[in-house]
Amino acid sequence: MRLPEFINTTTFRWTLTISAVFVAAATILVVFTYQESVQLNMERIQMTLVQEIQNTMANPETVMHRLEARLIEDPRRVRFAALFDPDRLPIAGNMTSWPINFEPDGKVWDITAERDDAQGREIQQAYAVGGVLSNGNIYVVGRSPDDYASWQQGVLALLPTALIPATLLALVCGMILSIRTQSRIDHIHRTANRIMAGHLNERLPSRGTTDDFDKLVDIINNMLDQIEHLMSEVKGVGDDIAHDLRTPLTRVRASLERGRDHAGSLDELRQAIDKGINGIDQALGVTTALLRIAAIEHGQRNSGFSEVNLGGIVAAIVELYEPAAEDKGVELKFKGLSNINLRGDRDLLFEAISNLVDNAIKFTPNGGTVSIELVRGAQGLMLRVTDTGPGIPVQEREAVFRRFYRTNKARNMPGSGLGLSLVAAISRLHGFRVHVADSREGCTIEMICSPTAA
Amino acid sequence: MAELSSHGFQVDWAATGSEGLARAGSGDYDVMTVDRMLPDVDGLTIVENIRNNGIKTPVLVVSALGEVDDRVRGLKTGGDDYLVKPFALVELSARLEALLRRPADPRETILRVGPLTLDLIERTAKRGTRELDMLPREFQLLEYLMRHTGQTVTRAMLFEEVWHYRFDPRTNLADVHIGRLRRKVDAAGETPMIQSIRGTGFLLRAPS
Repeated sequence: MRLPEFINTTTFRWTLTISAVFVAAATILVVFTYQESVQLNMERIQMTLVQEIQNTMANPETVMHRLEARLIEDPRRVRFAALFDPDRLPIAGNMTSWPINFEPDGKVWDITAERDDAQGREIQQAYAVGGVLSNGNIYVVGRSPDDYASWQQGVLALLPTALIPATLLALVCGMILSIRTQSRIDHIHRTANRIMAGHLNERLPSRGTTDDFDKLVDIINNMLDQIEHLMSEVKGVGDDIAHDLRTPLTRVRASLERGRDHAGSLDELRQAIDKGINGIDQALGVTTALLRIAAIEHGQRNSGFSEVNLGGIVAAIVELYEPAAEDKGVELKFKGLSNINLRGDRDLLFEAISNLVDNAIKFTPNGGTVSIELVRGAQGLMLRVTDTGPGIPVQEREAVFRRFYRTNKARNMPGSGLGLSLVAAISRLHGFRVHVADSREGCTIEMICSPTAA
Repeated sequence: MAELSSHGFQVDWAATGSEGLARAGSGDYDVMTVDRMLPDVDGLTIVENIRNNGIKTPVLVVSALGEVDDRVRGLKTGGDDYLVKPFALVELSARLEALLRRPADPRETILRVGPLTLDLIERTAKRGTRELDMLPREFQLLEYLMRHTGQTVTRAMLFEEVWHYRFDPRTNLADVHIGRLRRKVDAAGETPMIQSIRGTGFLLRAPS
């Protein structure tokens, strides 16, 4: 037989546990109260008996009167009262004989006695107290706790009858709570299945409250947002890779095809093949750059860190690019600190900064200026590369560091769209921050080179 | 192999590390290339073994592992040069050639190629009797080219050996520098000594 599903829920099990604890607590409480009250009742009975004998001893002439008064109105047949002669033979009262193991010493005795009244004879357990009167007669009073015993049994019998409906109530509550929980989980489960099936834009249902479930749902939904964002990014990069590889490969193919079909001489064939090789080099360049970015981002290279002179690296870059800038009619200026030591990878820093300078020269028209500054500012050590080119629109300033992102102006320039991604990856590896700064004209890129904010 | 043969090399090849090691032991080779990823053993282990056996044949390590660490390890183990895949075949043959013809005597203080004289102590350069006025980097470039006379020198080799940076510029930086050097070395009317080799690099040759 299959158990209903809710039985397996945590809520239901919790309810069961709580019910069991509740029943146990109730039972302990009842049993304790019961025992205390039994004890109290017995003590009260015994005290009353002792009191009665003491009162009688004080006023012996009232004995017959007291005896009769005790026997009248005893519907439950629990009282004993009897007068015995000095030979312990009954003179009056409802006891047929002197009880075994009993002495009239004013103390409480536990006896077994036979009562004899209008309803017949009966042997009963009772507490009894006796006292010797001045004439030698003995007055005995007793009280059977039988009625209390039956009351006590009643209380005990009541316990389960009270607990069963309470337990049932708890079970029903548990069931309702569990089924509600179950339905929410089912709902979440169905949504999760849809998400897993590829509907990444779906979100788990939240009731907008602050209960545990909604909190959990919110956490998971935030996680889904992040995953969706990453997925779209990966997907975008995948598309870009495919596109950026396809373009040169298509050209390679066309060039080779043309060479095969139309080349009239060996030279023409060579030209076609050279074009093909160029295209393949471009495609290889894209994959190599991607792999390098990936490797740098995974931090595989920080073992190559050593003490390097950033000023020296910048100076070498200026020297390297100066002729190219001059040929293009662009002035390349460097000012600032020349002796800055920090921990880093010399080749990677060279590559990152040369990328910035290369870009700046590339986008600066004839007659413009590219200036490189290495300064200590409020944010710490900063490398600033400024050009007088077209600049980067504000809304694209973050995007340019994404892989394959190219601004409209850059689209017609040679390049892979990976240069700044590489710069960003190298900066991150070194704990630097790189961003496009506000500038009145041209483009300013700042690299804040203080891993531990100065 | 075909490419290397066409460059005038005589080539033997071994498919596995152990076979390569055995051949290297014969010591009959002028230069060797070893791939890092061999079916049975890391190429560097072979290089290490070769060096431990006292064989001094120059070794070019070829690998897809291009990170700085890999490079440094490759060179420390005893490799003489390290080339990262993918590479152009001309790059491979240019580097092999450079290894084959390591400068005979690095202590030489005056280099001569045809009419070109380079005094490493005075830091002066002359073509015939004409003094060449050169910037320090141009001097270093010319020195490197002169030490590798008649060999094709690739752009990557120039950056590694003259600038000492591992660097793959996307623009024609090396060409610009060589262009300036050329304007000084090869004046109008003189036979050009510095040639550009399409798609490969540069070559310094004495005028015949």
